Amino acid sequence: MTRTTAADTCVDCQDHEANLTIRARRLCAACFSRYVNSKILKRMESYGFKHLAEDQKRRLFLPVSGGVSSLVLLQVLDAQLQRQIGNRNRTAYDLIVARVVLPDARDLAAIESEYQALAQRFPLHTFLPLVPLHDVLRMDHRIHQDLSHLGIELQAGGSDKEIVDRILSCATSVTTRAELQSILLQRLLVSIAKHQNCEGVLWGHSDSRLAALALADVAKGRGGSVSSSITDGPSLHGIKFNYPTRDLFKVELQSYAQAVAEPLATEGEDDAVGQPTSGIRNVPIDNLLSNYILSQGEKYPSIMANVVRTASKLQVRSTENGVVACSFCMAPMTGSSDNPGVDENLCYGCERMRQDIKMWITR
Amino acid sequence: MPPVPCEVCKDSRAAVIRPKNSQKICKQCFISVFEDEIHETIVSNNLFRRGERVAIGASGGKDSTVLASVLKTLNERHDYGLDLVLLSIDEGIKGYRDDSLETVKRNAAQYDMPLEIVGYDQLYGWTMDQVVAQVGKKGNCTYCGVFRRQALDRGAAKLGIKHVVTGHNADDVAETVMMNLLRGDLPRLARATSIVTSSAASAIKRSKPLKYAYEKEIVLYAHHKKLDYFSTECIYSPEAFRGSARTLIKDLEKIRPSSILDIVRSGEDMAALVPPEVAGSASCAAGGETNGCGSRNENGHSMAQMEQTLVANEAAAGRETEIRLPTTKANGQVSTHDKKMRGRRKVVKQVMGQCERCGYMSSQKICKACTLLEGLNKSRPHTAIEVDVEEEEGSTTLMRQVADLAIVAG
Repeated sequence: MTRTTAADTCVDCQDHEANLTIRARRLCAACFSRYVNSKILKRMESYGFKHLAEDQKRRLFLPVSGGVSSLVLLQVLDAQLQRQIGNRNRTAYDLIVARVVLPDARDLAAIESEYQALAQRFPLHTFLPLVPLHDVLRMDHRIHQDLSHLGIELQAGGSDKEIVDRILSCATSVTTRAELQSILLQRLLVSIAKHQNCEGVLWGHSDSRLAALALADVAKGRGGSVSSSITDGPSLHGIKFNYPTRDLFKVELQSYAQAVAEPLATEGEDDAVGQPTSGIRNVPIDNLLSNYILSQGEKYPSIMANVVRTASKLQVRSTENGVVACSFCMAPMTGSSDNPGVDENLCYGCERMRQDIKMWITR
Repeated sequence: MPPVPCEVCKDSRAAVIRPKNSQKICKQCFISVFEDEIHETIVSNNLFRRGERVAIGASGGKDSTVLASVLKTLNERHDYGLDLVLLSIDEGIKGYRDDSLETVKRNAAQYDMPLEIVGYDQLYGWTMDQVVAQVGKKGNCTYCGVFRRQALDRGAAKLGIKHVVTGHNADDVAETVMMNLLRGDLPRLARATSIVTSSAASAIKRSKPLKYAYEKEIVLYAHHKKLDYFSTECIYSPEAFRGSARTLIKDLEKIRPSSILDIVRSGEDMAALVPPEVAGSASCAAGGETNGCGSRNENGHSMAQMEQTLVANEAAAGRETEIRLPTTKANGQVSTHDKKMRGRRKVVKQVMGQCERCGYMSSQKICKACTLLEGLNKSRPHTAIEVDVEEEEGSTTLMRQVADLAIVAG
């Protein structure tokens, strides 16, 4: 009986009953919570007090998508800031939270009410009003010029929403449309962060998502920029990028979201992840790789984690080394292009994307 | 519905949809475009020089058959001035390799090229049939891959040839890129996409003229030119399990046909980003990339094995109790974060040398093939003491041949 009891005791505290299995280790709820918090806060150490002058004030931008990863990140950081107020009566940084509404969002009222509930639950932070994707036209001052390199000319006429809808409809494949939207979204978030005088952007990307992003970049010809797109530190956007949840798998974050005192209400999967792969031609490359990571991740989780580690070991190029950034996606360009007549402002991946975009000019 | 005219010549009726870019073209234009693209690859990478003797690694399969046919055509059309030879490896697999070698012999006659066949039993004293009988089907592709790569080099050395071309296509290269990324193998990632690979220790260089050609287009080219090739898969290579890199690449190709070239391009870009101290370390050359038929078995086995290794590594790291004194940074701040201080582990640079036994290039004292061979020989039952004249002669011949090869390679 002693053996049976010992076999199901938490391996960390040896005290409570284990009810979770995390990476082949049996943990109780309290130790699991400590595990998740320590993984995230370890990545936030560069934003601690010891790197802060007495009167210095830091602002960090945290975009939430309604998915589990960014909500867990928000909850963990909120707890950290609460403890800092309790201990020192001040915080090492302020959080600016925002949420972008994508064009295919199904229920705007539900999103608004969820977002308001979130703001009420975490009153310590600044919650910006909901932002539609088409605000990128207003906030990103270079977007018009940069879109022209893709063959998309913007002219007066129609609302911003109509213009963005037409931009996305220029894509002749689901992969390019998804990629176009993703880049516009990133540029919008960066513009908001700069506008709010934030020092960095905290992306709620789990290890699973970073692995899928890395493989998708490779599959789309963006291998040369994969290391810069998943590495903590300065980005070519002129603002810091951090991925505090990078050491945790998505399933671990989902378990945490349910185990926390007040379960975080996440909306259903807005990606196509989990959908059957029948009709594979209609699935964007990113979703195919997300499915791949999730399915293979169940069998070989460490191999998938190894993808991110491997990609992180590749050297990161920065403008200080004389590297030129792509006009549209801000990724580092890889030397001279071997394609004659190629636009020197675009990287290989965006050049590839341009081939899938039919020319469109407002009449 | 009216027939679609060819997008290139506008005259003939389109009969082919190019897998690479969905272009609708006629049969003649497809053949012409396919050959021109390979010519462009050869010229822009300076693969050959006039007067060079080149061995074509010929297996009888579609890739090497198309490679031989295209090289013969381009050699005549553009006057490369090459002396082309077919070089085949006989692994000793009954019912598979003997049939494919018949195809290569017919190819040699059709293309009027000399053919040299090197057998495993001749070099190592073991056929793959015997290896499988000894070690079983699981993992036998490792033996075959190691033996084959060395055999190809030794066959070329025997002919006095310093350049071997193989039929690796874009799909093979893309698969290699994905596998090396999944395995976290940075040294191989650094060189997986090179169109020419050579090493200081070996005078024989290898190149892949079909590096940018799609597998589907190779099949189409062989079909339209009515080439004679052998298409059975190796009987010892189990079917790939779901989730291998090959399956992933095929799915990506369905979504966006250019994905394969996009992955190859990514591989080239990532190779440039591999830190120099990692890229420089050469893992055992004999363990290098295997052909398509070999990668499945290894891949299936190593995925599960690697998972265990990584889990064990992570557990060990968690138990690490090394204590460091705080050090003062340049700006006067004291840091106790082990992770930052530890930095990158030193990568032991491997120096390519020669195997003590056979003289082939190796980063270890004894090359991989000899190591595997030793393992096999230890398990082999002893033959009777009595040796008849025939066996003795064979053994002596083998020793003489190996000695000759060693001298040439050295």
